[in-house]
Amino acid sequence: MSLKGKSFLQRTFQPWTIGCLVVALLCSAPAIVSPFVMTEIIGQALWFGIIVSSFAFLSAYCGMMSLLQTTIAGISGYTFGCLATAMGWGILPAVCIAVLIGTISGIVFGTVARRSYGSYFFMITLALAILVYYFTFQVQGLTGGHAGLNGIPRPGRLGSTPLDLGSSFGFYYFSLLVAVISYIALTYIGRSPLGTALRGVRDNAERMESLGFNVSVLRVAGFAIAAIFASIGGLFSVWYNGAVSPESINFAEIIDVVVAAVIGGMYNLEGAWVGALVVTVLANYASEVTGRFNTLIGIVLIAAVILFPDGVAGVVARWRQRGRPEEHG
Amino acid sequence: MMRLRQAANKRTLVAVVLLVVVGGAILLMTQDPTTFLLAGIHGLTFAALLFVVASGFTLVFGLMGITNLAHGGFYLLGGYVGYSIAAMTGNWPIALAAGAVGAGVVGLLAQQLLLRPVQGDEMREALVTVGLSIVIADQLLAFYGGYPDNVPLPSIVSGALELGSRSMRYPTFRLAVLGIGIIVGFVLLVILRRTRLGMAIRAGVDDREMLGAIGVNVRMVFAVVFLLGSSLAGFSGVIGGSFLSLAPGEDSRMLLYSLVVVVVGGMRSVTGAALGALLVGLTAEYAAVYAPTYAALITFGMMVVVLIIRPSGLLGSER
Repeated sequence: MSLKGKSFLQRTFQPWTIGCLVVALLCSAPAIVSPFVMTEIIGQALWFGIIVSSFAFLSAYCGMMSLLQTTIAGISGYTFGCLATAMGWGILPAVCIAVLIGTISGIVFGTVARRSYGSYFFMITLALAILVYYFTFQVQGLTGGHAGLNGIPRPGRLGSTPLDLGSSFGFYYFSLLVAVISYIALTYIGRSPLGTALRGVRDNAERMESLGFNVSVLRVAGFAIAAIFASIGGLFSVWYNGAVSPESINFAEIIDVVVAAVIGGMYNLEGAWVGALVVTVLANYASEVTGRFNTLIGIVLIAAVILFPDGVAGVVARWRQRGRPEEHG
Repeated sequence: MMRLRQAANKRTLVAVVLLVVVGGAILLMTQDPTTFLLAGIHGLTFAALLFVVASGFTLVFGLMGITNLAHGGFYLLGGYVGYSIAAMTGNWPIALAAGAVGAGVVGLLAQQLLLRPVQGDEMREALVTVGLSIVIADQLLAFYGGYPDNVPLPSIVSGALELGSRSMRYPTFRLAVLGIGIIVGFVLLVILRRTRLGMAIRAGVDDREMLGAIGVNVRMVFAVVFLLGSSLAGFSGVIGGSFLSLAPGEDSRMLLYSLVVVVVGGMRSVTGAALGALLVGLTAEYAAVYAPTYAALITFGMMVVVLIIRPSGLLGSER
């Protein structure tokens, strides 16, 4: 009993206990760390991780590496900014429409790229992302051109709940809440029949086609799901920065998401937040070492891809494997 | 039945697109022939530059399967090297050669040191080039600053030519670029069709393992092709730096154009790159003249229509 019980415990409860521990730690973080670390590093990593997790979801469950996640987040942010400032909408309807527009743009992009695979898909998403970047310069009436949209309001108290997004504590806990919900939702979708079908398409699209699945629709659906979470992350981005401009969706920002995902291991959702944390730490502290942040992040990306193909998660898995012999059955 | 209907839909789409394009062209031409023709020549010369940029990209992708996202970085690097050399020597052809050599050497080093360790894994190769592109862009920004620079032109081609009438004056250099584009295309076709290296490249595009098995040094061919590809990027960087400008952001703009050109024209073929460059160049210039606000959207629309009609590009093979 004792031996079996131990391995049972290890197998079933370990991820859960670790998850609860991490969440508990994050809940108590504001009491431990300085306000700077809370908002600028952990808080930012929490919502940035949502965008990264949408990338990781696509690459893990659908086998699609999409460079459009930052762009979709930006589209959602632009929509919110436009509605909340120029049009004077309330926060809640603006949020709903922003996520809706972000998701619709995801569906459009997914539809364009749905029949392409591998690096061809990667290329098409990058081309689309840069096209949207130029589009934001050209449609100045909507996007404010170079300067972008500024003075975007952050929501205040959420209804009658004690959560006040205006305060940094409230914003931190709200980011944590939404990040946890996103993680659980994406994991759940990944294990659902839809997620299984998506993995089937990832592994062998032709076989799924002959089994009667509509591969194109499945891939667009995967893209739409990821777009929902990217849009939510985009909202946090505009709330946090109070502004959105073409530079929020430029090549360097796109790369940040990719770097975070690569560091996190690309094929798992937990890693997305680990990678996001690493990138945020680098972004905040790199300036003390070097003035050239982009060079550093590029070198980190190259090193991570060459030396740790499966990211932090892979390193952890190998380290845990080392101590004990391979488990069977 | 489904297939038949899809094919019929496609044919209708092609017909509608052709009708709209031809009709629109005739309409615009009758309104203001001079503007229309000038935009056309502008599009052709821009297409020539795009072809030189994208042919390097498609060569590397075709043989090695590497999506080289640092291609725009090599373009800008070559342009800046050419700019420095032109400032030092005042000699444009030397600057052109220096740009090609500079980008080629950096490209070869990157391929040997960074891409060989991840060879064969197309996603990891693409990610390494992503990292490389951002390092190159950042270092160039540190070195040359953020203001746009221009490579000074030789005096023979710095004026303007009269085309037919007094109202049609056109920069000589842009016409020279058209000539350069055609020459580069011709040289590439000769290399690919008539030399042993070209034979090895064409065989490698079809079956890399078999090429190695019959005794060709595939590693060497890879290195040469990557050198050629990044040299072409640097070469076009000097040309582009002479009639556009060199500035941060030009690298991702040229990368975008290369991507759209090969996506539209089809991978793995130099002819496809030429066709794609022609389409993209003309679309971009006509859009810039007639609908500047929606230029990006129109390019996007063009790409979407081509992808609907042929998912792997106009001259691409389904593979």
